[in-house]
Amino acid sequence: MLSILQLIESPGEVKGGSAIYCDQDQCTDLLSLSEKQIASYRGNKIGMIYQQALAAFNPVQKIGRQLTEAIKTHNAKSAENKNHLRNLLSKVEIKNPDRVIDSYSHQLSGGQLQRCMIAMAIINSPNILIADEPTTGLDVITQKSVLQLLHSLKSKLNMSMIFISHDLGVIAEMADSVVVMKDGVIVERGKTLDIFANPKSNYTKALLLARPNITSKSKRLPTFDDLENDVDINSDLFKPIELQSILERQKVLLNNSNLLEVRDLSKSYVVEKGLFGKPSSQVQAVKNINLDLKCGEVLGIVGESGSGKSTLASLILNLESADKGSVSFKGQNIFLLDKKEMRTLRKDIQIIFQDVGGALDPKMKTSSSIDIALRIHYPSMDKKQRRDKIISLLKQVGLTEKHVDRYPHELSGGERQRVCIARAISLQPQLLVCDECVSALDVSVQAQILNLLLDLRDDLDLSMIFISHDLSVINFMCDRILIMKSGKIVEQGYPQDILQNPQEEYTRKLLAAIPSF
Amino acid sequence: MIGLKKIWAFRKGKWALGIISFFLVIALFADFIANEKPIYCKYNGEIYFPVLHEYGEGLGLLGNYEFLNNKSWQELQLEEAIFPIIKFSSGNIDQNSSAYSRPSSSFENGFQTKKHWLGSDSIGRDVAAGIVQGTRKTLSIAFFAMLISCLIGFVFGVLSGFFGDRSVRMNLWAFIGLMFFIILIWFQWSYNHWSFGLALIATFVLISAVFFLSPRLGGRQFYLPLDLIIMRMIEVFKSVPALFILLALLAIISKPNIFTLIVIIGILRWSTIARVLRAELLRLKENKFITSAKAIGSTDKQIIVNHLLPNALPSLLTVIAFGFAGTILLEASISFLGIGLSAEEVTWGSILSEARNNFSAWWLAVFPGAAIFLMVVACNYLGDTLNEINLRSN
Repeated sequence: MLSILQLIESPGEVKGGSAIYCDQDQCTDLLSLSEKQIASYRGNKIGMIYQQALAAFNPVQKIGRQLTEAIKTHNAKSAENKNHLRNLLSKVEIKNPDRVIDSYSHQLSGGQLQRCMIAMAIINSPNILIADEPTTGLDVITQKSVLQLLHSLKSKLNMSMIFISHDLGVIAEMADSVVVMKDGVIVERGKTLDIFANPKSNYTKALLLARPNITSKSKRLPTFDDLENDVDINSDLFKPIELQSILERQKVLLNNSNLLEVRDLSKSYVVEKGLFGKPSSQVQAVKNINLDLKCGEVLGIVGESGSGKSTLASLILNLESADKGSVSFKGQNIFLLDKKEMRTLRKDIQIIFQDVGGALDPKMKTSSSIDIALRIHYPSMDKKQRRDKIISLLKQVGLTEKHVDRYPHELSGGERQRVCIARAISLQPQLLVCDECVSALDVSVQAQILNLLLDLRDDLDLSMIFISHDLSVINFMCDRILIMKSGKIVEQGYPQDILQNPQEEYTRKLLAAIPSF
Repeated sequence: MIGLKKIWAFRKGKWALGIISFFLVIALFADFIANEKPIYCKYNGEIYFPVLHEYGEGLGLLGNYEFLNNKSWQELQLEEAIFPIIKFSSGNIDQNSSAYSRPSSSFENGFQTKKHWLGSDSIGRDVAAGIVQGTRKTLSIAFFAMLISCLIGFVFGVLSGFFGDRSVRMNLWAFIGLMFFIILIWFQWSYNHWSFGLALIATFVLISAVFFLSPRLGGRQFYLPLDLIIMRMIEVFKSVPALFILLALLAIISKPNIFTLIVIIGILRWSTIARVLRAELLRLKENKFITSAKAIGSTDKQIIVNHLLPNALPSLLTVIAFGFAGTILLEASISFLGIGLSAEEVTWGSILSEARNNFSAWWLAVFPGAAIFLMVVACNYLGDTLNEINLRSN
């Protein structure tokens, strides 16, 4: 999409083709324009909004000044008029425009920033608005309000919009017609309703099927490879599981002993310190959390960003020290262990992170990343045994021998996450904590990883704590759900109860905000 | 590790590698390039390799040639001989040649023609030989001084960057006791004439004992602000110009030799390395792969050695390359001032200082100056290239 506005950076270049812009019988090929000519189109006739709103604003200038700047370049007269700015901000439904005008970008929330960026894009009422993953970094509730705003602006200003997203739910809500792309090639195009009802290419089918369902639960999710290899996607494996068998499993789990008990867990971070080092303002990330995890159970923790899910995870692993409370693993309070005992225990509790790029050392090959873990906990294994073990682990997570000697930057996102999983299970843990481990992956890779995790749960008798902001993923994975908001547990129970019949206001809001198709 | 191939891909990198390897070859084969002894010769029907023999003598394996009888090889009637390109050793004062002979002036010493390719100095020492032999001294001083400053810099960088202010816990009373005894030891050193080495060892033993014992003591604990202490220490250290510290230290030491010089320069230059390493560690520590390493049960040592240092290395190499250039300059400037090594030890800086006595002898300034210039530029180019590679890979 950047190529349309000639924003491609060297060494990339547009290799032929044309992008024709028509304005009242007058057609121009945008790609043939000079740098100077195209500048009058950018922002003026074609507006653009990006995925990362925080990165798109200059951090050392106030928002108001940056917006004025944008107005000035296109229309010098009205620039100094503060009312103009206020009108603009109220157009994008910002509640207190004066405060926003006087703020720096880091002082605003993600949703507010996204609105400011939209305001910048629509200053000159462009005819086309290109929205590049505008809601990807936002949580569901903010996402919904931004989408509504874009919808109303579209009809108010009579714009056309190109909406780029990997989230089919969002597309279904926003788009009239859809173009599906894979590896730089258009795979399928058509009216939104047609494509969603009757997809033709395997890739589109996989995208639609690979998304777990919020209302029902299946044993496995079909993936692109399944479709390519003609696996029967109507088999029982992919059909929704009967409620009866879900209930049975939950009953069995209920009788299992507790693997993990968390009592009164609290953690706060100091934001500001007084003159003598006394904390004067702090954020309570986790507040008096109590939870139990049964052996073999998969516990889901849901919440928007900033709700303390990740802090809870690192407290359970004793990667951070808690202010108060205890975490008992198999009846043993892990906060009371000394360094050496804790290191031995680490073998039993493993974690997988969201950040697939950062979780592997960039200077280490796949083999040595896993090798280090084995060397620590199985010192008796010799080099060859470890190598064989690594290869068998990689095969277990769906990688092959050729991935052994690759560096992280030579692997795709899904492959990296598989390596992380292989490293985690190499120690034969009893508890696996998955901290948003699929939210950075696209839908079909997400399905593969989720299938893999469920297989591992059955093969290795793993218990899991599965942290996610995506309720449909949680529904597919989990036996029990906790819903967290600002450090506290708001609601907990079985998925079939919570998702069908939420008790709390917050849960209802969360459910209503999920885009669906 | 950044491969040489990657450096070679840059224009500046090519220059840097070229010049540095040129000087390295000169330093390694200095004895074969500039020597008054022949590399190979035939005397009275026997074949000799005097330059190689010299190494044997140096190691104590071989005895002197008795027939030499305090004469130089060049005074003997040799049947066949291959001499080095420069027929002088750096320190030797050639009685036959006059002082301040111009570049490429040649003379006969009765047996053969010798040539001062780059001229000679006030007492008839050959400049070319001085530069060639000086290369070895300059490079080894720079290399070992950097090695020492790297070691010190690594220790302090890791202490302040990785452990920081909030991970080393200490018993309060043990800490106060430690401070008291350290002051006591150094008081003894300065007033009761303890030896410097004894005081240093006692301090070191005391510090390690307290660090080992104090977590086991219990009692009132506090976090030792290592980062704070080390950073303030560096700031104090940096606030005094390096050359002044150097001059003061050299004034204390009665007879500076090459080793004391290495140690002193090494002690002067560690702070930059410590600072850069600290900054890198602070950045790297936030990465998830460090958390992952903790989660699989790596010890602090394993995390530092396996993950942090390899990832910090590219930026460190840049600093080390620039530091190398600085060290060469520092060494040259103290030799120029004539306070470094003794007068017999010829280095680039000491030849350069000769030029102060006779301005018309331009070759005394130009050739060693050019050598210093080339080496420093090459190091800076190397630093630039490493920096560029580092930036691109991020």
